[in-house]
Amino acid sequence: MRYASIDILRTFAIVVMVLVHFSENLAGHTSSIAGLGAPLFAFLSGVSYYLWVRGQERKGRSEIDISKISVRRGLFVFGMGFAFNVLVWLPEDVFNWDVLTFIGVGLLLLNGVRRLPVPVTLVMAATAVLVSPVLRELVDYQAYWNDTHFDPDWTFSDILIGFLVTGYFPIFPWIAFPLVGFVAGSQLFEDSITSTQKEPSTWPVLRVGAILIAMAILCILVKDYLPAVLSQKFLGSWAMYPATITYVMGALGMALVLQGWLHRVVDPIPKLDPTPKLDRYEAWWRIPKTFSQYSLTIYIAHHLVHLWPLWIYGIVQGQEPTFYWMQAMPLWLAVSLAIVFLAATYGVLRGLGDNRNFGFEGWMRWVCD
Amino acid sequence: MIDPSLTPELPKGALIEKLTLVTQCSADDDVVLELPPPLQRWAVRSSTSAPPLPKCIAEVLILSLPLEDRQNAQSLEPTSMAAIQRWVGHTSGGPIDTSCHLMQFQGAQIWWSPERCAIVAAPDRLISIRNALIEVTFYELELRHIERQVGAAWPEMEADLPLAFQFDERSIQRRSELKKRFQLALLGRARLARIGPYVHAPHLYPPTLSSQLSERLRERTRMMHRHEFLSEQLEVFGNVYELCGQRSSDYVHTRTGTILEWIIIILLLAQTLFTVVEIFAASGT
Repeated sequence: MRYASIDILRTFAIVVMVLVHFSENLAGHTSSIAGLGAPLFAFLSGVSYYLWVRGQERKGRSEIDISKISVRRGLFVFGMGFAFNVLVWLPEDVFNWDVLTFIGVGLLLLNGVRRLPVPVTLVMAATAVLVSPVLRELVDYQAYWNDTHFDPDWTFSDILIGFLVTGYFPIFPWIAFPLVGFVAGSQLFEDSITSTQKEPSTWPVLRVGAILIAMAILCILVKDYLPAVLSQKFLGSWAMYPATITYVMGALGMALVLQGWLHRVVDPIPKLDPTPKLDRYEAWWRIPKTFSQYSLTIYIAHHLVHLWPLWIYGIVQGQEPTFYWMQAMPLWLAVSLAIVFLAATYGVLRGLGDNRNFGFEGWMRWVCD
Repeated sequence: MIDPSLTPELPKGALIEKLTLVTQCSADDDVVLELPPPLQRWAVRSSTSAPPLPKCIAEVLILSLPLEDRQNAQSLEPTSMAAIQRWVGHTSGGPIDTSCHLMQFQGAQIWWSPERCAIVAAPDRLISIRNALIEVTFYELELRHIERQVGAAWPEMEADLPLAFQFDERSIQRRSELKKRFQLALLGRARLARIGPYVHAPHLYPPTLSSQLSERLRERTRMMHRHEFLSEQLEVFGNVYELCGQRSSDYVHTRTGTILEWIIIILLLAQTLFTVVEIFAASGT
């Protein structure tokens, strides 16, 4: 069963990422919405993994088979992340620990935690968030960054530290997103087994989300009144690199509130009304459905579409491939290209129809399932 | 309550009473019978047009037709008997109930259905017959109620069966539901046990009119068999939910221990992580 709430949120995440990446990589403009797409993407990977596991269980797949497929999928995404780094960001950035390698590791970890009690998963997520500022302080986070870019040495220690703490999407604290997403999925999308069983309530998820957002806002407001160690080193300001506690709380809260609210508003209640509430708006619903089904493909494709021409143009002009990076065109043109890309992608994907054997998602299923 | 189209046909002198079975009564109530004390039920006379009393569990309409001295109930005109039978068979919920029981004892004639009864007997016997009818009606209603509850709970119990063997993280949210069903099964057993001594009461010797009537009705409505079957069915429910309770309790205990162990493991891992990262950071720089 497809949940419109997940499709809408994933589409929002992918659209934000496309706009941000086009404007950043082509025009050097960092948008204020830059920090919204990736956390949502990571959070939804946890929600989707929960739903996928439930689907596999319903099909009668054994625990061992589910674990094997999960590991294969995790490794596939992890490997694809490296291939993506090499092909898109060029070989010197193979260990920049981008979002795909992170999601691959997230899937491997989720396979481990899926049988654990919910409080353990939440303690793991909280620990990951709380230890991350200490780890950053231990390793001297800024030493691994050159201006606004992660730039490690190719040594084992730097690569490992990049993977754990200092990369673009390091395990600490980013692993909190898929873990919390998995727990939120289990709270929101739990199946009713008996006819008298109540449908799961969305209020706990909404409440926790609202509390996290309130705490993030409070952290920002009282930052100046707190001791410097606490406000700067521990809580931090609203920043994605590094992902501060304030940022993680705010982004997680936003993801939880959006997921809970959309689930309440647009998802069908199987027991009361199994037909999707958005059936009336079939034509409009097709857009998020299409983008969501091919989110991984769109994520990779939009990088290829705007970065490869940039690298090729640089070489043709007799420059370094990355010479025109962040200075190729004005912002309005970069944003226009992003919109054109999204429209063209939608047209192409609709042209493919309901055959889902195309794209990286189809290949992943073919290889791993 | 009384269908006006039927009442005119009833023989002259017939008196209709509306008796309500209640779980609590006050000094103002017109109590006509107190069921045996362990049952804590009273039959209260109320107006036929009055709304249901609070704490009411059932309502029964009883038609009494006193016979003149030395007159036998069988000497009643066939049309009057047919009218009485039609009246008894008329149910509030739908079509005429054709399963009403007709009995004759010592010159008295009795029609019985769970909602309406009719007595045609000598005036001095009317009260004892009425009381016997009320008592049997209560037992029958109680059995019927439990049967309905058990019948409705079978599919849920079948869905809960796997939890009697294995309890997991996802089942935790069903604990309150299981608790309710376990309570319901126990409550059913308690109610059944409460009426057991009366349903299985041995034949009274020397017999009286009311004891004979009571025994006959219990036989006609197969009360003893139904009581036994219900007892067996509720035993199944009890066993299943007892096992579910045991499994869930064991799981929750283990889960608490597991959570604590995992928290310790996570803290140890965090400590190890700090050490490893510190070592690598030092070697890297």
